[in-house]
Amino acid sequence: MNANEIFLIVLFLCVFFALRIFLRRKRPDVLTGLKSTSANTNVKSPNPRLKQIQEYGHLLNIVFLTATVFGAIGTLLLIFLLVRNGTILNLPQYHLLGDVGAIVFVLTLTLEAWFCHKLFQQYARGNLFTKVVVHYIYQIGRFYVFANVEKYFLNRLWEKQHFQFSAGDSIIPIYAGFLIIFIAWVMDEGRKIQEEQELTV
Amino acid sequence: MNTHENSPAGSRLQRIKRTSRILQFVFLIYFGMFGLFLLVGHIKAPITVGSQSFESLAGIPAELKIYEALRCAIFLLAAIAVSRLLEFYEKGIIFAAGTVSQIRRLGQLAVLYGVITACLPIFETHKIEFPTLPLNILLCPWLIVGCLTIIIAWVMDEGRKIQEEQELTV
Repeated sequence: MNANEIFLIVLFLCVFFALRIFLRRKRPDVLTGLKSTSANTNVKSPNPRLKQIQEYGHLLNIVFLTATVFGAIGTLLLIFLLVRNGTILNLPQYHLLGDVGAIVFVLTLTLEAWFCHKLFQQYARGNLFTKVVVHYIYQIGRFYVFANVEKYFLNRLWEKQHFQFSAGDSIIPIYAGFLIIFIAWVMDEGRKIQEEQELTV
Repeated sequence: MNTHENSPAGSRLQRIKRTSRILQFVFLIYFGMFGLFLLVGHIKAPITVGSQSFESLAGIPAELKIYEALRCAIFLLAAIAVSRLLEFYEKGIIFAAGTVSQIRRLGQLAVLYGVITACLPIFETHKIEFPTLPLNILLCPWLIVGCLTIIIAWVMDEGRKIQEEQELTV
């Protein structure tokens, strides 16, 4: 069994356990924060749309938390390899630059997964258009841009060493990140306008 | 949104409109140039498709031609979606159904582009390598950002519907 097969098995196990946790959890009442009992029958039932968002939010929250844990372990493993062997990618000319770049890249992806986890945590709580939600979307966009800029330069570095990376090496994903930042900004401004209008009324 | 131009809300809206207008202009220039480069890249030899280079257009295998055509079509559709989204923002429409629909479309196109890009090794080598292909698909940045965009658009849409329902109930 090689490293790729082990990785896939671990990944499937994580997804399986995440689904199991999601399906077996006890759901608190969305509006009251209390468990549904016969005494609470007069309490207004939560909006089904919001409930659906919260359910999916909770599931994705767990998925991204798993990804964050994997990313953190990966980063620590890369640092450990660098300290132990003195190199990770074994590039003769740019070994330190390439190694540090690889660690920063994995760390950036981990942080991106962390912000995705925080975003879906907010959705799971029923917060849809708050300041915090917009902040997390903004952070996801920012880290996405940063990760793609890093990937672009790492690929340039590897190409010099005749090292081929997988498909998707392009500068265009950076624009997608900028678009996310722009949408987050418009959402934030829209939210502020609505708040100001409510205060004026 | 109905806001007075001199109020803080009005100035915010003006800022959104102004930025959208500038971005639309920049985007138009960029996409025009990008299209031109794409066209020149397919006329001038050597033509690069994926990681391979070809001397003429006739030398490119049919499956790679389909791949390039799909890629160009997705770019064109994405450009139209971005342009429409910016048009909505320019009109001051922020949380409407049309805006959400364009964001969702962008997400869907990103997912489609991610799948096509990840499947490029199949077109090139004519074989499916396990686990390289599923890993490429799973870790493709386009796929991740596309799914995320679709989810955010869905949440925005549901939030908008909830607000509408609450306003009708009041």
